[in-house]
Amino acid sequence: MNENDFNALEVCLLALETGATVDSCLALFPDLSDELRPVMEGAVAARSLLQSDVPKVAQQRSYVKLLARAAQLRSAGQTNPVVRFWSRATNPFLRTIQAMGPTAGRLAVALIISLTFVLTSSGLLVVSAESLPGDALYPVKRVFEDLRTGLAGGAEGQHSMEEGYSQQRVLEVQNLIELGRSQMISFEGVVENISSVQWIVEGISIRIDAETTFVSPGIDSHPIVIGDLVEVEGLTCPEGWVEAQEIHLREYQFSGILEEITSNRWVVSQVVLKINTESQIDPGLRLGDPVVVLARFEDSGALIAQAILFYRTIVPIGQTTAAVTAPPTPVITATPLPTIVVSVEDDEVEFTGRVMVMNPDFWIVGNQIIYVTGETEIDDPITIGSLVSVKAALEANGSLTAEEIKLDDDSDDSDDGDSGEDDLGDDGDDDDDDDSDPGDDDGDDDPIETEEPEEP
Amino acid sequence: MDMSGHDILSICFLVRPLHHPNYGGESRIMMDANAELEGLRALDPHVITTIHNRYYPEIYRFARYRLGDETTADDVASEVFVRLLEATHGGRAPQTNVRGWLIGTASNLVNDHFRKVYSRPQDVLPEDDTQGQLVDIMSDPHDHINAKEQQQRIRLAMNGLTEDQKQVITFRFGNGYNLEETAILMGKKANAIKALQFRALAALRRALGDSVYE
Repeated sequence: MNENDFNALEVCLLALETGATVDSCLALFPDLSDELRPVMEGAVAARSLLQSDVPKVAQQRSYVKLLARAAQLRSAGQTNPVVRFWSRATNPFLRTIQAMGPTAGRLAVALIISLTFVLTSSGLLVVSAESLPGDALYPVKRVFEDLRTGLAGGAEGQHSMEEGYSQQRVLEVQNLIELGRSQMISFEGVVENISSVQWIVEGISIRIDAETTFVSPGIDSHPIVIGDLVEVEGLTCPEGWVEAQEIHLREYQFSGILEEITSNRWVVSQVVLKINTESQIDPGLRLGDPVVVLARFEDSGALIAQAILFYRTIVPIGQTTAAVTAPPTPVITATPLPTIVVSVEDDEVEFTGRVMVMNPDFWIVGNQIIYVTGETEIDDPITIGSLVSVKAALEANGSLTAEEIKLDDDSDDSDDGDSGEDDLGDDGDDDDDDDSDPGDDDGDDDPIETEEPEEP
Repeated sequence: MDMSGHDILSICFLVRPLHHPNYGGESRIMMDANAELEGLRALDPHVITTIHNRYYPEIYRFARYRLGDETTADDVASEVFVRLLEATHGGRAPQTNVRGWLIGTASNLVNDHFRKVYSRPQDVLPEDDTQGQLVDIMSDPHDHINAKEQQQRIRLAMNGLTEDQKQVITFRFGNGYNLEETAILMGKKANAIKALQFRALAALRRALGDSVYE
């Protein structure tokens, strides 16, 4: 091998990229053909793995996660002693102690300290750390975890500790399965795959049957989808899966319009959110702003806003972030429908959705931004909340320019927020990685994206 | 053979990436590194947005190419940016090259993933949902099951290469970086990358044996 071989390979690779066959590439260098052939075959194999599409859903999810983390870090950096105090006070463990009154509270703290000392000195904790659900020492392990979380300094420390313990639950379930033990368990994790009989949550196979209960309180319009955080309760099976008894939706994200702001209660597109000291909220949000919400269900069923962020859209490569300005006081008449792609052909996209934002330059229909121009044909009268069908051109940079926006005559606009899946059914299209799906940019409530679990 | 002509061509390739459907001039636009890092440290949402939008596709493609699994690639790419934020905020910022730091972190996370997979032998590598060009070289171009099996074989063969060989193939074929960009990211000279690439592709072909070309 020498410099000539390397340069010849570069020429051949370029020819290969332009559609030439290996043989025609090698014909350019007949005297190097024998040396280059295996290398070129390797190149063909390497090229075959290329998957150039970047799913917008994934990018949007990553972006929201990143902003939420930034908000957490900002908040942690601004935490003063008073906030820290209240942050601790919100911890259920400490709240319980506070509720006991001064004397009983002090007694409880003394007891906890003594217990911790005893447990630590006896090595019991070390042993219990290895225990699994069903073991005699497992309750000791969980109590100690609660103690450590309760005594952790600052919201960020507690959050980090809780995340660590959550991972611990997943490992315990994996260990139980590997050991072939049947045991009632519960753990939290992200839904990675959904089919009618089996889900994958944090890499663990979950069997779904007619007796499995799905719990997503108060948000019937949001079936659990891939990417949501759920709590699985069920039985580990030696066959290698968990028989799910209940699956609770714990965290999910959605976008909408900010409709109400009070000190501890915000409303986004008719979804009521509780605000607490740990809610991360973009400064300067106003009524009417488009927002992305990360929400978590408490055991009580209340929906806590973990983050409410200004809805910055994914900006196509090479463009600067467009400032999204919302109309003054939009009125949403119904829960917004997810954007439903009807077809994508020849760079032409058609979909239906509810109008969320009307701006001179762009609208938001469903979850999709479309740019309107002087040439866009727009039905009259379309208002915020109208169900419309959109025909748009898919630009080279991935944005959509509306050609036609019409009131959707085929749909019953007085519906109550039904997801519309019955109208279109399952298109059988595996669009998890489909970059051409313009409505699929938030990954939250697209009924086409996943196969629905069989509701009992 | 007139190699002088080839030399001229090769000079062109030094400044031209392998063709890549999503490769744009955008990646060349370099925000002032100091301003970038300053903004990150200050958790400036605009800088965070700019960096995420600029680099996410590259990081995702890198992870996707190495892992062959969309979900895991999504997780890895997302985690890389969170780590960048945390590192910068915690005073462990990349010194100058944000892209290099991101790619390096992605590479570590990918390797961690494979270590976990290999430490649990009952796990199989994720099914590859690549819709690549391999069908072109197969006897039956419509046989997608075969195509997936073969892509999995190729990925397994890739995993047997040295770290440098995997990197150079991923950068050039997965990310579409040109020789110079690849050289910068790998801390080598362009000529060294040419040689490394040649050996990497030859090694990949050897590792595949006749399985893919029967």
